Amino acid sequence: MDSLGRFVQFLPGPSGLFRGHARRGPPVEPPVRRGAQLLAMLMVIGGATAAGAAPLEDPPRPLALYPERPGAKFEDIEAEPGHVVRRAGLGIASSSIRATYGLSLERWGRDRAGAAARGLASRDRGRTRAGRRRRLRAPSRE
Amino acid sequence: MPHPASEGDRLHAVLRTTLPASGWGVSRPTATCTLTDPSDGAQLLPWLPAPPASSESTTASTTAKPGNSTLDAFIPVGSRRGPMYLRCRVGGVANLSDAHVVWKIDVA
Repeated sequence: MDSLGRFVQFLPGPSGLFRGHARRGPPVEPPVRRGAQLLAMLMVIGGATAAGAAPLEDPPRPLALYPERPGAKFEDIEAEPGHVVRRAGLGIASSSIRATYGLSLERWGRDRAGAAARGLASRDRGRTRAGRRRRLRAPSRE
Repeated sequence: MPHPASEGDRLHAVLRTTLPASGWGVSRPTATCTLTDPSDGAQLLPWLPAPPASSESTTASTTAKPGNSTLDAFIPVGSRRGPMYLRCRVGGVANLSDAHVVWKIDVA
């Protein structure tokens, strides 16, 4: 092999250094680096978009205010009455498909027995054992 | 076990929802609540304003309209008094999480 052939072996590319790396087995760096750059770019773009569009949201905090509360769940957000708790929902607001809604306990009080109760209804009607039996029996009658 | 009769005193709780002014577009939120008496762990379910005759709901929930609105819940507390925990979830189809909000209230 003449001197020109030896020089070509050390050139980057399919006929030189790069080919040698690929044959020996270590990971090929250029595509990996390109992928990492692309990922970093997407994270920056995504982060900037999320930071601009993400609604403020109160995270779950069980037992934060009421450490003695029985039956606390991980998804509970404890709050003082009157404090507006913000949560994210699916909706359209400010050109975003995520929207923030607020929930607060405005007031409460005792209604004495005998006070007008017209229009009140139990929403678990039909969910009792007897109700389920009735619903299960119903199709066989048809 | 059937829902307790709406006899005796009731706790009237008023929840306020603040929804985006531009509307939700997908669904209207609903609230589902329970009241817990820590003295014996009893869980009380609310009575709610009756739904229109055409709608059939299977959960203890009520519906809010877009904008600022209030939701009323009537919980049969009878003679129970003292500190209690009201736990509510506002959700519906458009809800993105299963978060519940809990308030400690003093039932006088």
